[in-house]
Amino acid sequence: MRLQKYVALAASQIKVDMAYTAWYWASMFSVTMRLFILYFFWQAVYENKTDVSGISLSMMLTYAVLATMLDQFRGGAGRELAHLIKHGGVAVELLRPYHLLDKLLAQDIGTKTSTFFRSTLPLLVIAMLFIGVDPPTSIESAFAFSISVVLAILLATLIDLLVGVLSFYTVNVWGLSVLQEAIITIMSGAIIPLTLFPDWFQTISLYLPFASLVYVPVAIYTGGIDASAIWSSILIQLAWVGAFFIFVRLLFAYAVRKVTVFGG
Amino acid sequence: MKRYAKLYWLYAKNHFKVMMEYRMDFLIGVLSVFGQQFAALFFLSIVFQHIESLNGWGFYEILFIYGIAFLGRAVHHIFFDNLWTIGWQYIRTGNLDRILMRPVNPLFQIVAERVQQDGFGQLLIGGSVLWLASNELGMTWSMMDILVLLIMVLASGMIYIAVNLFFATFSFWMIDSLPVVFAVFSLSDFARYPMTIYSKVIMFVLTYIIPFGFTAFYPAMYFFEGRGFTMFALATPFVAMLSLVIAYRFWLYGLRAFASTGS
Repeated sequence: MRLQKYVALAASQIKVDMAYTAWYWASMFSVTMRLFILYFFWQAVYENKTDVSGISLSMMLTYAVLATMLDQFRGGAGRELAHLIKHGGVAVELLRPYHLLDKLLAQDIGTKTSTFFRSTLPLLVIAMLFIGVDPPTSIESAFAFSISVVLAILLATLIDLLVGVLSFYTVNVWGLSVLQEAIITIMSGAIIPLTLFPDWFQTISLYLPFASLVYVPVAIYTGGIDASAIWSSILIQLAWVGAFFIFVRLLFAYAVRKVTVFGG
Repeated sequence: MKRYAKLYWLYAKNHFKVMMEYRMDFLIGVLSVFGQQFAALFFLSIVFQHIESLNGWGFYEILFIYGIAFLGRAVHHIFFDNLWTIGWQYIRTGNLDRILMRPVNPLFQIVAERVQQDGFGQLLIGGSVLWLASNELGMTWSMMDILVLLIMVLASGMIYIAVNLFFATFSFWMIDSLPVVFAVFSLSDFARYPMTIYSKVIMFVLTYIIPFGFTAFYPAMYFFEGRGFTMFALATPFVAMLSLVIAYRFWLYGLRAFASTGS
């Protein structure tokens, strides 16, 4: 079957990830520390306040924890692609009997599946014990949240792949990925709910894909997005996923042609 | 000493030639670090649109602390960035053997082989933030103050360098200790905020075990009046030197252990 080889790729990627235990513990430690910083920071913010623009402390902490968790699913595939391009491995990859982008996507799904079980779940337990995470506002919001999260993660991978394709054109891949990270960190609501932003900023972010990455799923969970607006928000996410899926393929096809010419 | 200075100049010159070859990448690099810091500042300014003070600290006071952290980090980032790569670029690949063959201090060679131009973005933003904050706080700068500021920034950089070197040295035993260095460095984010917001345990760790508190918060206290912590502020340069000595000793110890296993 056509799909079978991609499933095999995803499964083997999970095994590869399991082998890097040192990195696993390092990132667990680092995320835990980040959670603690957020905890103390928000505690200090709410020192003599019960709410900040309508958000209570427990809601804010829930938001911060979930956003931090979601942040763990951001990149990976794009870096891998950039590495292949930079070191020439892409030439061999293009000869193999799969679409390179599909292969990277499959591996990415493998990585993120293992991240979910090995990192997210234990970190969530830590966060529930030490920081406090509110339950979702309703069953509907919990259900919508789980769909929205999957779309958000998929969109993050596609954006990452797009930046990866750009490394056909630049050698400073590190800089590019840091830049991407900075933009997403600000615009997606990864560090702070978008509703705290100035109005003009919120208007801009309506027309950009970044809010779909973090703010939409997490605000669906915490009730920041009303029940009536949930499904339209998810529809917008879906549209962005579709748009980026097509755009990345087109750009990749174009860039590959260019490389072949130079290799000629 | 003179020989080392000359050598460093040669390394750097080479590096700048490469840099001029890839101007676009230089720009991307600077811009990226710029963006990274900007994200942190943006976050802070948004929060401060909704509150007046954080645990008694004003926006510009925190900005000042940030500024010192950025500048110290820039010193580390521009000149000592290669410390990150000791494991995977030198030990794993056997590059270290090449370096050990030469009659020049091996650590010097590793450090000199890279100038990380992206760090200039950090320098720029750190400088501007510090300038802005001190203006808003109505600080006056005597020559003495400027001298102290320079010393504090260097000390802050030295602490980053010492921590990086110390934990990179574990690579001699585990081949690549980058995950360890990465994990320890995530503690440095604590240092950006006034340490009074944290619990006693965290303050203790950041003061006496991994002295990241001295990279920003304590040195900044020298310039604030009536905030206390003066003794800690004054101790900063000494803590920096002590950390560096310990880290370097540990590096030498690791190097000996490594040399004796090869043959």
